[in-house]
Amino acid sequence: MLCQICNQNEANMHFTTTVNGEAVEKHLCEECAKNQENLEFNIPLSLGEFLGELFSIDELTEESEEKHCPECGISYEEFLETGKFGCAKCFETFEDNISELLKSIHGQDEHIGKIPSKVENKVEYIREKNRIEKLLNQAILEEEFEKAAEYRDLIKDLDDKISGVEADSNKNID
Amino acid sequence: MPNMESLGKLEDIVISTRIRLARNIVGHKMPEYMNIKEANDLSKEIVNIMKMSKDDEYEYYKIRDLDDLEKTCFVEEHLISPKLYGSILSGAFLLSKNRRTTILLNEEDHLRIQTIYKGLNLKQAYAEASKTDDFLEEQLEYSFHEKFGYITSCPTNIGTGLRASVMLHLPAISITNNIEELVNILRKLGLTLRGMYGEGTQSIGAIYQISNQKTLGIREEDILDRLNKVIAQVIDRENEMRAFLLNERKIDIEDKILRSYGLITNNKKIGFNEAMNYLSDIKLGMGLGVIDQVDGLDINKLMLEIQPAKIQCKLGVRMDKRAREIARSEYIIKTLTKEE
Repeated sequence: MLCQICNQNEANMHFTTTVNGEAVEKHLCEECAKNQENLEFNIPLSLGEFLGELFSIDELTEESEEKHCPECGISYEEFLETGKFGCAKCFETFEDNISELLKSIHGQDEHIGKIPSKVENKVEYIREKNRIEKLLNQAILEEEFEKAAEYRDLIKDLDDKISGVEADSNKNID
Repeated sequence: MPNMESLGKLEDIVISTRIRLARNIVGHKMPEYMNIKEANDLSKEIVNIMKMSKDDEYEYYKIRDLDDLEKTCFVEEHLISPKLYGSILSGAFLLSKNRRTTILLNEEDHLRIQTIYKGLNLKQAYAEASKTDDFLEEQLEYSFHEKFGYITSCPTNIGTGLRASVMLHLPAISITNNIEELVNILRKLGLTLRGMYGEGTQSIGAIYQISNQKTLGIREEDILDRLNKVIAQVIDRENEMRAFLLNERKIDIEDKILRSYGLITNNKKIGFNEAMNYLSDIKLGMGLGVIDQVDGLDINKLMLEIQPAKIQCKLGVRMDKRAREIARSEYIIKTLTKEE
């Protein structure tokens, strides 16, 4: 492969850097690689560094600092260093931290686009449940216990529906 | 006053459209944390699923089976990413027979569906990628979080997992030193401007890519719609700058274009960057009606063919830098002057 900067010499120096959070492979010849080291402005910044600064470890609660993803074993601290998650389970493990992070990147933390058709019903039930849970908390705060009881029933119904679709999808897998 | 319509042909400015959807599969760690066997097994599973696709036939390539030249050609054609090029242990991809769709396997995410169309075709390219996505989803279980959407390895892709980008030739914005300003404006609109080979690369021959930055909290249709509107604005600005050059700097711009034509048709060896700069001027000259020597030439195709690896694949010979420069010179002169 040719050097990505001069496009002339054979690229014998290979680097992985992170630009805007995406890993980028750099293939450079020795000469251009040396220039890169000298010209610091040309070195892409890594998202990990930014995350580390923005969400410094001091700000994390002791709990999240110690928490490790049960699936892949990475800690939130490790994620901040690399800017990459280890597995899908990380999103449940670090959900609260991730919401803040996503707001800072995208200005939002809730997906409103396409949903895989297989999980469409389940996602709708969960979203509805989350909405009603907020109403329930509000009702409790305002001591409107009759309303709260209604919300509890609605949540129970939704829980049943959710476990229903989960059981169905497990059947399909078997 | 030049006729704006004659300047404003879309195909003079927009080169191609690319859609990319990032997806991951339930029950597997992200590629960077997977062992090689698990990654290869997952690739095989996806390959087997795509064999059942009725829409298109796919060819399967493993990165470790390709030599450097073959791999680089795929990168130069934008069919695979530089990152996949470097995934030598478990990286692989499926390429559709019409070469429009690539499914990148074990890159940063388990799979990335990429569809490339010529010209400005955001909706069509997305529809095609989304159809492939639906087909895969029927057979696989995607990692999808009810709040965050499609799970990706990097938080910058989460939600829709959609990156839409349009490749443009912007010589007039570039000549009038307005690229930096454009970068700033686009950033405010949540879009990014990059060089020809994507992230972290420089612009060559005034070719740029504009793509969405946000992937979460916005619907796919709105991502495409916003990008489409901004691209229309960028094309308008490029045309305004072209009109300015033709009205206010006629002699200078004609001189630059004709000089470039003279140089590129009169040399014995030429480097890629130098050739791209001259071809960029000639492409501008064709759009402005300043030169007619190369009427009907597909200059986008020529720009693709003279890249360092592609020129070797095109001519079927492996060459060092000097031999390539000589071959590139001969090939360009033959194509531009229609010599046999």
